[in-house]
Amino acid sequence: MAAIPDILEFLQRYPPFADLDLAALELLGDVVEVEYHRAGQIIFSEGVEPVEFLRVIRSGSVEVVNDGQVLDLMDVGEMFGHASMLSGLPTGFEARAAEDTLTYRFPAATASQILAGPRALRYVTRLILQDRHHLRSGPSREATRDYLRQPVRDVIRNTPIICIPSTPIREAAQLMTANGASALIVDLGSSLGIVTDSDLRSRVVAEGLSGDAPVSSVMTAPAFTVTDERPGSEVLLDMLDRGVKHFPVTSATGRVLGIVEDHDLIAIETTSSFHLRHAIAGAITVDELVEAATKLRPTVISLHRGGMTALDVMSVFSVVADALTRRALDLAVAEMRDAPRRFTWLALGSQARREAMPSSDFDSAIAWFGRDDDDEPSVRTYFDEVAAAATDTLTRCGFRPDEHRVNASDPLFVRSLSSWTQEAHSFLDDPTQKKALVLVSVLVDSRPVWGIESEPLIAETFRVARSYPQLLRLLAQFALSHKPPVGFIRGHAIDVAGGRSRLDLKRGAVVPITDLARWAGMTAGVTCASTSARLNAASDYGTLTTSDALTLRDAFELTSQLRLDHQVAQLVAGVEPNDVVELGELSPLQRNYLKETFRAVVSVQRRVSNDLSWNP
Amino acid sequence: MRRPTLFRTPTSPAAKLYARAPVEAGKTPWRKAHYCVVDLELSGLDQRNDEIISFAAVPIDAGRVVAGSALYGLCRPTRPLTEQSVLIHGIRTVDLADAPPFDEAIRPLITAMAGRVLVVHVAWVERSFLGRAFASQGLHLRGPILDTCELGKLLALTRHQPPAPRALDELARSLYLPVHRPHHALGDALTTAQVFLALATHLEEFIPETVQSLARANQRLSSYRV
Repeated sequence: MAAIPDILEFLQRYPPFADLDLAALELLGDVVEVEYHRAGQIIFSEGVEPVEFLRVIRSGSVEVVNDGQVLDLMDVGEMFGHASMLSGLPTGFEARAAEDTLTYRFPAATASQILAGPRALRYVTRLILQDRHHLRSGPSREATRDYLRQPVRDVIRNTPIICIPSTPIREAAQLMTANGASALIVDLGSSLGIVTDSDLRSRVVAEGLSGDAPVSSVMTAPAFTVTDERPGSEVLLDMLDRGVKHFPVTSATGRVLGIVEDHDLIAIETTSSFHLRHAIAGAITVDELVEAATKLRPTVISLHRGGMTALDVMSVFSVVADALTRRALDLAVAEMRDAPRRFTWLALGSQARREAMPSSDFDSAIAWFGRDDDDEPSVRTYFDEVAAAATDTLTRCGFRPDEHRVNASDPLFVRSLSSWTQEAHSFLDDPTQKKALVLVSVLVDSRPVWGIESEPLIAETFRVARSYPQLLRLLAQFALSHKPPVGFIRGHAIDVAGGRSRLDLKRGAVVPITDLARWAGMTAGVTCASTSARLNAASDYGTLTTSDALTLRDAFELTSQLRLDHQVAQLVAGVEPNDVVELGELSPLQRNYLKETFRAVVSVQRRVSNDLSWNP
Repeated sequence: MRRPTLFRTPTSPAAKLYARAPVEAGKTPWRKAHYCVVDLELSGLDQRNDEIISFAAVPIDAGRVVAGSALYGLCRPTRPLTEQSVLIHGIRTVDLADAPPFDEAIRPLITAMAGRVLVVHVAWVERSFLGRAFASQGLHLRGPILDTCELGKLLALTRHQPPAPRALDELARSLYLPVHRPHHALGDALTTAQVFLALATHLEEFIPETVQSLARANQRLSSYRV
């Protein structure tokens, strides 16, 4: 008996098999079977039962059919059936031979074992996340389908702002502000450069560049561009892959048509969230607002069913949370006397990072423009009252305040801007103060959502953190102190019969990753940003290797997906969502994925910890 | 040296297994039957003087090629290979120096074929060379032989298409199937197996096919020719 070399050579040409070593390939070669499907023949049906085989197309092509509609056409070398095989869930689509087709099939037992290797795992995870985009059925399927097909040219909002490389940064920033654009294009003749508002903030502010410096000193060039006929879904995946939020869009002939932003692409899909935001903005009493807020959870369920990825759902959820927060403050302020000082309401934590989920605590703070010691007691009383009213409304809307009271209803978090800034600076100088590390972490994850948004932000104080090595070092140690429960999962995997064991996904995976990302981002001069933006910045800056940053990003994506799956199931069952999963409710493969994820995070932590001890 | 052709006694455990295994019933629907696709590489086409130098067997069960259970073997020839034959299959005399002698080498193949319907491309070659090989083991070839070359012609006629190519690689291409390493027993056996699946699948669009109906491809062809 022998594996047939031709088959192995074929597999080696395609991911994820390309990364397998010979022994693993031979394992596949030993169990492979070849099937022939006549054009039109159904290879497996939609939603019947889990598939027990992984299939790879050897010749011909296979249509992915959902509810009678062809969603995708898979070509030679592509694999299918893995999502159902790995999750143990029924298939989300029908696979039908589009022409006479030869497929290789591998039984689940062997295929899962091979695909659980770290590199194959990355590839498959990505595929599955991508499948969710394309192939899940549900109420918002129509919207999803349009979105799938919509070419990216249809979502460009503005005419492009184009400047030449020698344009001064100041002028470029003014151009962007005047046009309400978050990015502009630099014409380099044969290629394009791009400057985003976050480039301006991070590179100009952090590196102390003068406004007279040419825009070419802060641009990214050459920018990755997309042609206008490409479907939005593909472009969004490209953005995810590259960790970029803006792409210049060109016509087939190379003419610049505009810039597409990730938010534009995500927004197309979320008609329901748009209506929800509309209802929120239109609420004129607290009761109406609370009523509008009841639609948020059903929206999450339908977005999830519609196939939106967890990261996208989190960003939609956060946008809606912002809208609710703003309206809650509008209403609170309207009920009260005129504000004695201008003030800003800051979202903290996951909402600030735009990574909130139904289970999230809602943390907040108030900063008013003034000095604590100068202000009369009535000033503080006013803001305490605003905070109490807004917090009360938000709680009624289903946004629980933080259990540790990191919240504007706590006097500690209602302060003047000068007091905040003073404290932030004192943490930079002496990070050994009591609670300094916790508070720095809280303040770095802060984002103004109501009030004066343009003023210097508290989080910005920490942009210079890399000049304060002691703080960074302590923060790194703080981040590394959260250990994913590797041994726990490993122990459990042996004791399969169990099922009583519980796992807190947030504490076990999300916190270790977000804390590490926050620290790594700060080393690169990034303050408040999403976890993946922080990781990208840290890998650009060199704090993390590209592959470690990628590992953490994937781990974050995967655990977020598991959290959301779990919470949506709870919402559907009418249970208050949380992050605690019974290990028994995870499929063996999901457990395997989690185990791999935890291990990956631990190994990154170990490398970071080694680096720290060598470069004190 | 030859044994009498009518009364043969199996000479090895493999041969006994083959002789005793039940033969697939002719009325078995084609997908339910068990097949063994065989390809041989020869030192030449002279039935009396040339020898089998390598062979491959690929099983088909439940209408699927069980590629993981493929068998490949080399046989040490009794005389040096001609330059012409080396040019065809690339196997040199030195490559076979360590291979077992024919009688011994052939036994795994006999085991692999036991109880299975033989499928080959251009049956006379295998019928002749395998027949001789089997005789040396005290065996007759049992059951029908399915010939993908004949089945290819039959499908083309049934579909009112121009005649199918005879050569295996061309036939595979005409069916949009991959061509595996040509003139390598394992490559050709896999190609033949895939061609067989395709042909049987398409022939069944017209009538339900059984082992026997596929075995009678030649007779069915003559009825078309009338």
